[in-house]
Amino acid sequence: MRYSLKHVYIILLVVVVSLLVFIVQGLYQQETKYLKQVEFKRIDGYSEGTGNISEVQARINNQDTVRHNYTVQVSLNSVFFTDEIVEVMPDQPFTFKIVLPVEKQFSDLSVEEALHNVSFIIFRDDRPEPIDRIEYKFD
Amino acid sequence: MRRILILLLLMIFSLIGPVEAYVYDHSLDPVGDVNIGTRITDTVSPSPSSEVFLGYQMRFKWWRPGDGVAQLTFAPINLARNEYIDSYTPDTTGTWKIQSLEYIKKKSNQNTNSEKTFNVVQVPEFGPLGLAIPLFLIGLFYTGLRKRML
Repeated sequence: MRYSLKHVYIILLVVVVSLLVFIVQGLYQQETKYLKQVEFKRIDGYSEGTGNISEVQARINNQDTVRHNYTVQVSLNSVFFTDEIVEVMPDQPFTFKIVLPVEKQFSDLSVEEALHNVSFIIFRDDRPEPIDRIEYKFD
Repeated sequence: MRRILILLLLMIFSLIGPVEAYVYDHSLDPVGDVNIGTRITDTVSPSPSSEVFLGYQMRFKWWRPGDGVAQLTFAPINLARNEYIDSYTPDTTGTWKIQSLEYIKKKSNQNTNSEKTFNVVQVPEFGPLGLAIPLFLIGLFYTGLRKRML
């Protein structure tokens, strides 16, 4: 009898420890899962051959239960550049990234204007107005 | 008369020749199957026949297995190394696809489509429970042993 009680005690201890691990893991995941629908980021850097560059990105997290089409509209120096339509599934984030030379670029054949501003406007298929927008300025 | 016309047409077509398509070479790092969570870099070199100038960009599309785009990047040409680079960390197992399209002076060049696929695998891991349980059992065994010794 005493022997079986000892076994029950060990099993219960294993169960309690397992539960504790699951609870801690769950709390940690909940913390990391709390994301905004659109997150913007700008990283400035340097590239050999290109000079100063800037990486501007928008990360879209579809928090709905169904898939949606998102449109990312990009303007460079206040001139329309592209509008990319992508289907984003729930729990499968999408990242739009553009890497741009910031300084004026020269070559024997052409000149590229310096970058003054970049703007992102994000639309979702079920809303007429933009869900988010941002403008980065370079001086 | 008809034969002469056909011969003339054939001569004209042979002079024009086939339209030369761009050839893009994707090189992935690391090579072969990769474990989930490993950062993959794709370096694309334009074909030697294509001339590369300022204002050239490559649009990289990283497709998840099945469907859905995970990342879309516009990367400028690196004039010093004459290549385009993009990277991504896959979050799902299966066959991923990288689709690239070159942009010249902010306009897409439809003849420049190219694709590359790679496999993402899951190497089995113990996880937090895999560490907690053996540690707990070792502790239990050690305390039991100490009791017996005392």
